[in-house]
Amino acid sequence: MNSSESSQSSGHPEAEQARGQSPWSAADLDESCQMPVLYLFVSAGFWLVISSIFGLLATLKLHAPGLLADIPWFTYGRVWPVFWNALVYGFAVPGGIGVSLWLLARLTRQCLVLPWMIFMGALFWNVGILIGLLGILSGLTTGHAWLEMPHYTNVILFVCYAFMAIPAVMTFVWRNEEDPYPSIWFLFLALFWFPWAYAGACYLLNFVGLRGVMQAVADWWYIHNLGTIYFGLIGLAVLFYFAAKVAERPLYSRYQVMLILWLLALFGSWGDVPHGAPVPAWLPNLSAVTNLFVILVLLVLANVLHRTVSGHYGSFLKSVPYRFVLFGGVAFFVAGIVDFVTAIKPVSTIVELTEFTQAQSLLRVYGFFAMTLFGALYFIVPRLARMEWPFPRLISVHFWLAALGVVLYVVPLAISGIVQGGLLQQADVEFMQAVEPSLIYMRISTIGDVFFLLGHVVLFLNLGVLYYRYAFADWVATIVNSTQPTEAVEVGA
Amino acid sequence: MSSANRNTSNPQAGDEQPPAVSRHVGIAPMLTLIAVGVLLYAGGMYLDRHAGGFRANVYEPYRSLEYVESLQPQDKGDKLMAQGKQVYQTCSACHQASGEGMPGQFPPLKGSKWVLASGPDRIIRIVLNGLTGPIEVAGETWQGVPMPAIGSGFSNQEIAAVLTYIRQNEEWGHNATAVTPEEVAAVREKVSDRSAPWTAKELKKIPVGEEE
Ligand code: HEC
Repeated sequence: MNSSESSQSSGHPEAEQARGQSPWSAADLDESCQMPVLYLFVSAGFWLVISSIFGLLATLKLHAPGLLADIPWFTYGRVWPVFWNALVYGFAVPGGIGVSLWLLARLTRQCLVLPWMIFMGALFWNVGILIGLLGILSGLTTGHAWLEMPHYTNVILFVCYAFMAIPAVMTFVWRNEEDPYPSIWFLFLALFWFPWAYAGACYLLNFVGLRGVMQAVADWWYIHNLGTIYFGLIGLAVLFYFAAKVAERPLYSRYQVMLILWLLALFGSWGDVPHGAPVPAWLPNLSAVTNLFVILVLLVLANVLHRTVSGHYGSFLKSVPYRFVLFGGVAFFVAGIVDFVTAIKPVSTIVELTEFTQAQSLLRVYGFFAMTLFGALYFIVPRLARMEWPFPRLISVHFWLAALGVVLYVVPLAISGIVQGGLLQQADVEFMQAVEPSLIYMRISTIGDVFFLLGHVVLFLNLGVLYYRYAFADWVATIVNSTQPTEAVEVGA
Repeated sequence: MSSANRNTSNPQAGDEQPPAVSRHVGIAPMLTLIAVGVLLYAGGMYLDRHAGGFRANVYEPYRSLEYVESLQPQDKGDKLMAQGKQVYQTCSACHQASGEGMPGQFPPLKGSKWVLASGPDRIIRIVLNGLTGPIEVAGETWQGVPMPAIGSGFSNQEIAAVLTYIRQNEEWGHNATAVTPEEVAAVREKVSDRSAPWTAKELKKIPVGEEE
């Protein structure tokens, strides 16, 4: 460890100077995060397994429609949203918060404030997710994509989020680093971006009750805010952290990173209205135009990352967590380019109503964000818990399962979407004729889902056992050892 | 060397330092600024052409309100009225927008018997060839100023439109039948070899329903 530290100290004198100011060592900082962050991670891992079970079920139903079709709780219209909601709110959002909290403590060199409050927030957040998912399964879905959970869970999640975010903001305010590492800007903005987008969309869709096509517009706005901006902010924060760390060089250009932040925040949330949508023409066209600006984010980002890492790309392959992050970074670029291309009208008209869009959102949410999170998680957890992973070899198994899963899921669905969209454009092709060719691609994408599930089981195995050792092992050992009568009396009393 | 490897899962990694950031400015912010400018311009042009004027009632694949409206199924009369209002601007120089004319020079169209007659054959002729000599309108006799053959260069459609406009103008309290381009075409056919303006005397021989 010392080797990396010393090479970093040589990286920049200012970091050196700032170091002196903090009363806390990295170990202290980690300790402050330990309880809430580990809990957030292990519960995120749990929901991930749940999510992929439902995801697998949902894709199976696409080519085996008879499967569990007689049980209302397991019909496609409920299973599919459970998959997404568990992925987004069970895993991605709390996982993102966990990573943010740790980075926040480390980079502001301030111990996490009120960890108990965060823990309580996380605990009840999970209760909210449970209620929400059961709500969807029992048929109480709202029908708005990414917001299917019944409206009362919106309140639970929002309040719980505040419980987690307020201490995070306080940590930032009481920071010991005058001018913290740029990742912090992204995380700080993200802290506010989620409640803003979530509360706005829930209020409009589930409480005020927008009418007609405005529902779809508000929903697109929300999905884009969450998928592109919120996940983008946290994912990029992680990327920047690891880029400098892995290359053992200072991150290239503070100012260009700032530019990325502003471009993303200003132009990232306009997109996503498809050209075929039954909305006034200016909406999809404005979306398409702002997507042009998002390309600038990719260009500047490529410049920043390349100048930071060039010559050290190999270092990313040295350890599995870094590989996850590298994969996520590449997926961010691919997803950005795909978003841009599909916003162009002739392309949009072909792919807009097909599985292509599904491949697109998965590429962003999973290929980019989840993969980046996995990398951070594998990196952070052993430091927090101060334990080795119980099954270190499984980390690389998870990487390959997840990476192949993304490829096997995204590529076939994208191809299927293009084929199907092309056929749908031809007036003389009947609908079923246009849909049939996609069957084979759906079968392949199911293999991707199986890989996801296996990968998540592997992750949860590692996380779960580690968490057990961290949180319960001592406690269980005391009970088991308490064979002496005196202690037994104590327990009984 | 192996530090990256050990980062993976080294529980004792507690004393790491945060990474640093360089303060290079580089050329990218400048280029980005230029690119933003160019994109704002190009995007603005694109939206100008495709965004339907940011109107709530223009949907894809259409691009402008005018075009959308021209495609709306319309009552023929309405369309004639709209066009007639445009053409009437030629007449309003003399007969005024109010249709009241000018005392001693131009007779009123508002309330005129010939304008409101059940058949339009006389007024079609007036517009095609002009009018001269004494004529009684609204209880006064008008003469001296002739009316030129103002409509000789108009299409049948335009003449039908302007006459429909003066016959159906609600503001004037008119509610006669519309004039069709076919009717105009028929009259134009009949008078094709005439170039002199009409006189009221001649026109009175042209039947226009129950009118004298
Ligand atoms: C240059 C001025 C002028 C213009 C322009 C003009 N008129 Fe006239 N119009 C007259 C005059 C003058 C008379 C009366 C002629 C007469 O005394 O014999 C008249 C008479 C008429 C009459 C018959 C008398 C009445 O009031 O019913 C009609 C109908 C008429 N005009 C319609 C039109 C229409 C329709 C247009 C436009 C296409 C038009 N005029 C344009 C000057 C004009």
